[in-house]
Amino acid sequence: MWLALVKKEWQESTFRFLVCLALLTIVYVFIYTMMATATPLVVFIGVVVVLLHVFYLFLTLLASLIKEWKEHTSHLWMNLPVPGWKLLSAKVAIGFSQFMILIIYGMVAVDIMLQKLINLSFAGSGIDYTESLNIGLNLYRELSPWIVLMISQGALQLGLAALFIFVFSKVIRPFGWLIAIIITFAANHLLSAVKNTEGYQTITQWVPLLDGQQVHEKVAIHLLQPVEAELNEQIIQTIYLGQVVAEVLFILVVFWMITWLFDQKAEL
Amino acid sequence: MGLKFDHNRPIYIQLMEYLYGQICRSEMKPGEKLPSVRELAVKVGVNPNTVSRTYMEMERTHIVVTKRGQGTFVTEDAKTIQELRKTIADQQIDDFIVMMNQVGLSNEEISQLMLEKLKKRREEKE
Amino acid sequence: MTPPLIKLNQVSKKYLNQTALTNITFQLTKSGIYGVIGPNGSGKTTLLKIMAGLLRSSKGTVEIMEKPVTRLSSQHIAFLSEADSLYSFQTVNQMVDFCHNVMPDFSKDKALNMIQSLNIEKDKKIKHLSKGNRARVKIVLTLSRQVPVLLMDEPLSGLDPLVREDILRMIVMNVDVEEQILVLSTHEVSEVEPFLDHVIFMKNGTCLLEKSVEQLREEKGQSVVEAMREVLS
Repeated sequence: MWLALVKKEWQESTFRFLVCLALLTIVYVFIYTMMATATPLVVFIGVVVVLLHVFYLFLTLLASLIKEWKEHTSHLWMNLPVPGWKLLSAKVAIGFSQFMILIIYGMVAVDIMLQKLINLSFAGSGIDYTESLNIGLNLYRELSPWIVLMISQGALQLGLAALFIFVFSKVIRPFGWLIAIIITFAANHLLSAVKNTEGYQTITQWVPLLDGQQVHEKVAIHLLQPVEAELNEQIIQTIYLGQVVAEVLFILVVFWMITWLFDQKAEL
Repeated sequence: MGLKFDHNRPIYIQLMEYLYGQICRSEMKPGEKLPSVRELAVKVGVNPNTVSRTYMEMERTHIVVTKRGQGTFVTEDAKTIQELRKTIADQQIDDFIVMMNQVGLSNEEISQLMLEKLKKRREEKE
Repeated sequence: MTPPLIKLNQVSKKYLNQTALTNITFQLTKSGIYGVIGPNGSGKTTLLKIMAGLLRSSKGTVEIMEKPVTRLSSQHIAFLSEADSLYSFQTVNQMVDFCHNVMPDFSKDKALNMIQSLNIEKDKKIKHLSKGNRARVKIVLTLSRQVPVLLMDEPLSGLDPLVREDILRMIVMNVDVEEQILVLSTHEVSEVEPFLDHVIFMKNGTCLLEKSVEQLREEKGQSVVEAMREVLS
C-alpha cells in the first residue's frame, strides 16, 4: 500500500527533480570551468549551493501539496482509505530520497572542485597553498558524512515545517499558513532554549560520535586565522548519539501531530 | 436504454403493466425466465429496487414465481394468466365506461358505438 | 430497526462570510439511491463533502456508521468529485493498479471489466483521454470500491448524452441497491428521476424535503420534477 503511494509521488515529482538536477549540473559545470579565473569566490558559491540543499525538501513538499490541491487530485487523495501518516510519509520519503541524491551529488561536485583547486595551485604562481588544501580536502572527506547529517537534519526539520504550514492552512482558513509560520518560529525558539538547558544536555550527551574539539583543532591549526578559529569553536561541537536520538524522536512526535491534524481537522 | 415512463405514477406499477402486457400477449411464455433484476433495470433504465418491487407485486398475484437460486419465472398455470387477462380487461373496460359516461354517452350508446367500431375494423382487415 | 448509516444533526457550515448550509438534519437508514436535488449554489456540494468527512461542519454533528465522520471515514465512503480529480500523469492501467494497491476495498476485476466494456484505452495517460472518458474512468474507480456509502457530486453535469447514459447504466449495473447507499447530487432531475429511490431537496443551504420517490408518486401523484417545483418555488 505504502509503496504504491511512494510510486505515485515519484511519478508526480520526477520532472521537478530532474529540473533541479539539471540546474545544479549547470551550476557545478559553470563553477568548474570558471575556477581558473575567479577561484575563491566561485568555490565559495559551490559550498553555498550545497548548503542551499537544506531547502529542497521544504520546497518540493510544498510544491507537491499545492499541486495536489490546485489540480483537484486532493479530492481523490484525501478520500483514500489510508491513514494520514502513510499519505504524508510517502511524500516525505520521495522528497528526502531526492534530497539525498542531490546532496551526495553536490558533495561529490565540491570534492572534484577541491581536487581541481589543488591542481590549479600547483600550476599557479605565487604562494603554494597545496599543503593546506590537501589537508582541507582530507578533512572535507573525513567530515562529509557529518556535513550530510547536519544538512539532512535541517532539511527534515524544514520539511516538517512545510507539512505543518500546509496542513494548518487547510485547518484554519484563511491565514492558517500565517499562524502556522508564527507557531513554527515560536516553537523553534522554544526548542533552542530547551536545548541550551543543562537538563537537556545531560540527558542527551551520551556516546560521543564526533569529537568537536579534535575537529576544531585540525581546522584551526591548518586553515584559519585566530579570530575565525574562535568563531569556529562555537560552530563545531561534539555530536552525541543521544542528540541524534533526541532529534529523531522530536521529528517523529511532530510528524505524528501533523498527521493527526491532517486526519481529524484538515479540510479539502 | 429505457422505457418512457409517466413520472406522475409509481414506476413499479408502470413496469408491472408493461410486463403483464408481454405475458398476456404471450411475448413472454408460461414458464419463461424473466430477466434478472439488474438486467431489467439496465434495459428499461430504472433503479433495481423498482424492479424488485415490481417482481414482488407480480409474485403476490401469482403471475410469476421466484425459484430460489434460479430466478423469477412466468407462471406455468394457464388459468392464472387467463385470469390476469380478464382482470386487466375488466379494469380497462370499467375505466372506459366511466370515461364515456363522463362525456355524456349512455351505456346503450357505448355498446352501439363499440359494435360499429369493431365491425369497421374487421372490414378494414379483410 | 437498522441504525442509520448516515446521520446529520443540525449541521451548519459557514465559510468566512457566507453560509453554505443551515441546520440540516436527516438520517439515511435504507440502502438505495438518493438524489440531492437543488439549483446551483444551494449547498449540494458542501453537503456531500461534509458527509464524506472532507469538510468539517461549523455546527452540528455528522455520523457515518455511528461514528463521527472524519477524513478517515473514507474507509466506508467513496467520494466522486465533480472536478477532474484523477492523477493526469498516470495511465488508466496505472491508475487502476494504484487504486487496487491503496484501497483494500477496491475490486480490480470489476474496474477492468468496466473499462473493457467502455472501450477505453488502458495504456493512455489520463491527461490524454477525452473529457467524457475521464468522467467514465472516474465513475469506474468509484463504483469499483466495495464500500457501504458512495457519494457522487454532480456525476452527470457538463457531459454529453452518450456519456451520461453510460454513467447511469454503470451505476445501475454496479451499485448494490440492497447493501449500499448511493447519494448523488444533480441539478438535472428529469434524467435521473427513474433511478432514484429517495430525494432530498435543497435550497439556499437548507434541506426542504426528504422523501421516497415512489411515495411521492403514490401519495401525491407527483413526479420529482413537479415536487421540486412545488418545494423549491
